[in-house]
Amino acid sequence: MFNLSRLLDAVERRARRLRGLRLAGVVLAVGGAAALAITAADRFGLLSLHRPALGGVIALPLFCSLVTFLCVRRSKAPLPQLLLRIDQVLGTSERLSALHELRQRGGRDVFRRRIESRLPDGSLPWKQGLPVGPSHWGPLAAGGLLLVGACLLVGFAPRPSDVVAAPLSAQTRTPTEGRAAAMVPESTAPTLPQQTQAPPTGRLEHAEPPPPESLEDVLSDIWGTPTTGGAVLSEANPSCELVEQQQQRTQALEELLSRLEEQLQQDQREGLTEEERHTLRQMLPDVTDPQLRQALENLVEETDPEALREHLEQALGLTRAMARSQADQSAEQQEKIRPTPEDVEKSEAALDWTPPGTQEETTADGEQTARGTAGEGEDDDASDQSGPGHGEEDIDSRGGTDGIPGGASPTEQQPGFVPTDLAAKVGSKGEFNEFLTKGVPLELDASQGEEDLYVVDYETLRAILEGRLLPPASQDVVKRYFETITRGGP
Amino acid sequence: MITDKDIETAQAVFERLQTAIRSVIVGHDPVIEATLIALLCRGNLLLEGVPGLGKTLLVRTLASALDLSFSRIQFTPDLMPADIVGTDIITEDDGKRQFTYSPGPIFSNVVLADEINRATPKTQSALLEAMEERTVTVGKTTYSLEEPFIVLATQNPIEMEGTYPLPEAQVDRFLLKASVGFPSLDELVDIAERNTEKDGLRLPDPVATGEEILAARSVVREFPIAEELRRYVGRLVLATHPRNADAAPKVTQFVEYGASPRAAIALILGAKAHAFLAGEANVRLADIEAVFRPALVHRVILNFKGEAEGIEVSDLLAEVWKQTAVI
Repeated sequence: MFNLSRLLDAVERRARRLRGLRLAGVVLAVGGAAALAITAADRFGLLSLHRPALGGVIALPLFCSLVTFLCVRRSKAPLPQLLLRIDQVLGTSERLSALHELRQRGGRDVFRRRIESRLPDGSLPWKQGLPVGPSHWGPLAAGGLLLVGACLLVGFAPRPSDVVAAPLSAQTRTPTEGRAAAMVPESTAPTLPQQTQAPPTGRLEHAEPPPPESLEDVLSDIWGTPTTGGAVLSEANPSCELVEQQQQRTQALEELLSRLEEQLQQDQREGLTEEERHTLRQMLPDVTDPQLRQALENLVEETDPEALREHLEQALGLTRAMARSQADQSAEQQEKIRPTPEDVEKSEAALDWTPPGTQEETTADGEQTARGTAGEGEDDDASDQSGPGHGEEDIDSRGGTDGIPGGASPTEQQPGFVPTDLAAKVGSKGEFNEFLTKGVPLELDASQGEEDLYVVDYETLRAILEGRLLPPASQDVVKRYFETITRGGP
Repeated sequence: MITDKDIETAQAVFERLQTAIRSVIVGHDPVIEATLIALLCRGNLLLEGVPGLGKTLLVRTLASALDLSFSRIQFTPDLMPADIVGTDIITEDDGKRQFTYSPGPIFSNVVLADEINRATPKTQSALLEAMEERTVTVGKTTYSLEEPFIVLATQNPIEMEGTYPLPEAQVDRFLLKASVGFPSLDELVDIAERNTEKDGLRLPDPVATGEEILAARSVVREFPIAEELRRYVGRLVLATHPRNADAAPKVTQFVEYGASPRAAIALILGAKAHAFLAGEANVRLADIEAVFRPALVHRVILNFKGEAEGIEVSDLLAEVWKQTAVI
């Protein structure tokens, strides 16, 4: 016996489900595409979203899709159309549609009986008229794939900012950069405040020293070492780094001005030397505060001793005020970003590493490893301040020679020792590509065969290590670095 | 309240009627079907074909098979409306003269308007009221026509000299228009045999009464048609309109006026009658398709371009049918 009511119920249920599925799929696909776009934008630095927000971006299409499915399932299905479609697929001569019409209008049982008697016995394969096709699962599958892609972007792929923050290894550095970094002019380098700072903080996970044998690993430690007491700064907060950089610049400026003030008082000088003016001019571009900049410009240009002192006092006062402000700001940043125990553990592990001696190591072909520091004869214009490693903006990736606090001029320094050979082995075959030395060791004029000579100014190094510009946590790393490259030091 | 017996009786009556007609008419199944559909739907039928194809014979056979009155009006250019609907004439009764209405040939159950396009439009228009309202107004008096009433008109599509094309208003009053085609060889041989042997062609005896026809009409109107099929019919009719968004390109190009709402009525009623004749219990898509062309072909008016390029309305309708989706 044909049961129209049951058929209509079943048809309507299935139609609602399918329609819900299709619309939910469309919503999921659109939402998935949007989520993928947002996560990609975040990944490539166009947006900056926190991880919970990214999770929400991914979860929202799922939620909307589910809501759509539930809402559409509750809406009424167009039964006449569906029945006509089923009639056409099954070839039932529009009898189901006519039965529905009779049911809607009531009466005329005689026609209902006659129609039902013409329907095939048994259950109708009516689902053939409402098949689940690509239009139903296609958008759903597409949306799912897009969301999976978004998840992968959030979960696994490294951010470009991470890559930038990672230390530049010797292999990734171009020869020109390496040479330029090694050929920092001594006369100008110490006076550049931005070059006196430690390298910006990166992520310690990028500085994992697998077997701590190579010089590059030590360099990685240096790159990954935090500048503030071993605390690991969050990579998601570049403003923290910026604050630190500014703080250090301000600190250097404050020291310089203080030193100038002392010298002016002690030496009873009438004005600034050309070198001091030059140093101040070089610092000007980094001064963001207009008042301070004006004060420094006045100081540089001033020739009258009285006015000079006034400008100096004004500049010093402004610098100190700025230093205090930046210190507060830095404290706030540090309060916000606390290192996780894992990060601290990594940091400590990195600092506890002891480099092995390299006295016995020589390259396979006897080539000395000091190659590339200064001796290749190419691009040896040491006074070229515009070359890589000297640009004032490019303080993160290269540093030239580190600054020497307290007015210690590198030209006045004498080397504490002069090793003749620096036999070392880097890499499996002894290859030694150029790499960034972060300002040390300093290069002095070679007295014998500059290719075979490698001079380290230990006084300067000690000054750097003991100076307050290098955080205590980094000092060990720096020490190990020099121990590594000089077979244990003097 | 219709019962199974009513349906079966009506279908049996029309089976007998079809058999009787086919005993005389060879071939022409679509035309016979259209004739019976018009009879079942309380409509009128326009038969179009060249002379000698049996149009008049078909109508005479139908009239003979029905136990109903039959009139034949031969339309000529000098035919007057009064010749069709009748007129008041002076009669003398007991020495008193008075006007008495003398009914015309329209007062029959089956009226054959032979070569209807030969009469003037004025005379043609005399049929309008009778065809639609089943009444005739003469002077100040309106007379009702007896049911069942059907006008079966014939016209020659070729010989156009001295003819007056039917006005659109009158054409629209024909439920269907059936084209009578030339018979095939076998049919031709059969026709020749039937007309040349023994006593020649013999019209059938009545097999259906007027009451039975009216009962069948009631049954047909009760036939169920799905809502979506009704909507489909509406879309089909609208698709013949050149200014409709869903119109086929050829319709837009060559049609001046599309089908009227009467076309939709004719389609649905015709489909119901077709389903009835086919022994079905409901209207199918096939029923609509069967009556689509005869119900619309005379209601779609070509524009000058269509006429000039010799576009066939049947071809346009075929395109409309093809392009209009059921769902």
